[in-house]
Amino acid sequence: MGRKLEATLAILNGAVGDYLARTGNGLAIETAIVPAVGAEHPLRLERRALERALPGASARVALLVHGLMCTPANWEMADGSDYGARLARDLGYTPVYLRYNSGLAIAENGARLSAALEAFAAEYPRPIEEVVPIGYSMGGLVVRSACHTARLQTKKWLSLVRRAIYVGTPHLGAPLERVGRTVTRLLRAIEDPYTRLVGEIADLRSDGLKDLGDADLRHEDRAPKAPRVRLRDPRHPVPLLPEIRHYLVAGGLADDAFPAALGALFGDALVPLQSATAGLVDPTSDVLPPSHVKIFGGRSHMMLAHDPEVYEVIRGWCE
Amino acid sequence: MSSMNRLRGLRALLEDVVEHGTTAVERVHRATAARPFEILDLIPPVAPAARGVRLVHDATVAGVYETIRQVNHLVGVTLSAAIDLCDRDDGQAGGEPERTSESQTEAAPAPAATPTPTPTSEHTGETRG
Repeated sequence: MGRKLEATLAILNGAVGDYLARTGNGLAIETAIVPAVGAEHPLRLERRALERALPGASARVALLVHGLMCTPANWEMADGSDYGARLARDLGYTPVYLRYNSGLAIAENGARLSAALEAFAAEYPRPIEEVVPIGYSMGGLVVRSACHTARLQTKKWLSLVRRAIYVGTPHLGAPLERVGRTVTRLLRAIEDPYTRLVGEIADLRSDGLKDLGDADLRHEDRAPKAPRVRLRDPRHPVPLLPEIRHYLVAGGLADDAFPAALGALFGDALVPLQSATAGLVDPTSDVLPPSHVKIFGGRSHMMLAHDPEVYEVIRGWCE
Repeated sequence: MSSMNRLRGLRALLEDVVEHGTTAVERVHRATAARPFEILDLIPPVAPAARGVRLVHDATVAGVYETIRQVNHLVGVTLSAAIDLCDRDDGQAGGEPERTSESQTEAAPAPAATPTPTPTSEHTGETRG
């Protein structure tokens, strides 16, 4: 499949992927673990196939999870490598990448990732010492949701996760989606057929997109939000798992030409700093001390997934 | 996900878009047209004639939009048949069997029809970049 077609399908899935999946549409992307950013076919989760697909499989696995409307190719850097490939080169990790329908509810993708990882870990050619999930944007929330599901279902793979890295992840939700939700609700409330139609069209956006508003990790978090109009970050009801060390990368537009105050407000243009970092940092906590948070100025949201300097920080955390 | 499945998906999506889009536009059309008719209905001298015009209008609107939906459905069925035909021809010509990649993350039983692994089907990086 061509890169452009794959990217187009990813955007379509991010926009209306829940509808595609619900109607059994062939354009819906299936959850799969792939061995490289450009890989077309997923890994078959059985031992012999994994042995052939991952020769020299390491005991340490890095799992890279892309964001909304993205594909694994989103990780690719200017020189053709990516965070996973560099971790393989520098630290001997075996990188694998999740491909998924980002229009599905985050809780659904989390459950699917948890099931896939359980099968992957069981069939991996050698005992796994550690799995390091690296989630970009929505991917970080999918990782958190998968960990939450795995804990409830006592999945074995969760014991292999001792650190998790989140890159530009809106842990406290994305204000843009909350604004969109409010505007949509207003448009639908106006007694005019044209504005109502615009509101209905805007409301077609996928479950995954809507989940980003409040970073909903569980199905039960999604239900009660209908009557509320909330633009501020909520406190998240699902805490970071204390048995895992969490590391956060956040982007900020602030640089020499962009005032720091605006940078803090707008964050990386999509995720504010409060959501990507500060709202979760607790100086007294071992789960997420300030040293586990790195803010990169002058970076937009999209740049965070393939930035050499971001990689250097991730590499340091993965050693 | 085979190319044919994607084509089927694209066809279904386009049909859905036209179907739901037509219904939405019809709803707006009816709501917009209702306003002048409701005003005319309040003016006794023209009310009876306006009601007659409205009946004809509503019937015409319903007919036009229903025709669009039916033609859309017909085009969809025709395209489906054409895609099925192409798919069957490809199969008879000995094309590559469809991969069953969609179920890989489930319980992962060994797919019986999976082709012999090749560097492109279970590669380790050749297609990267």
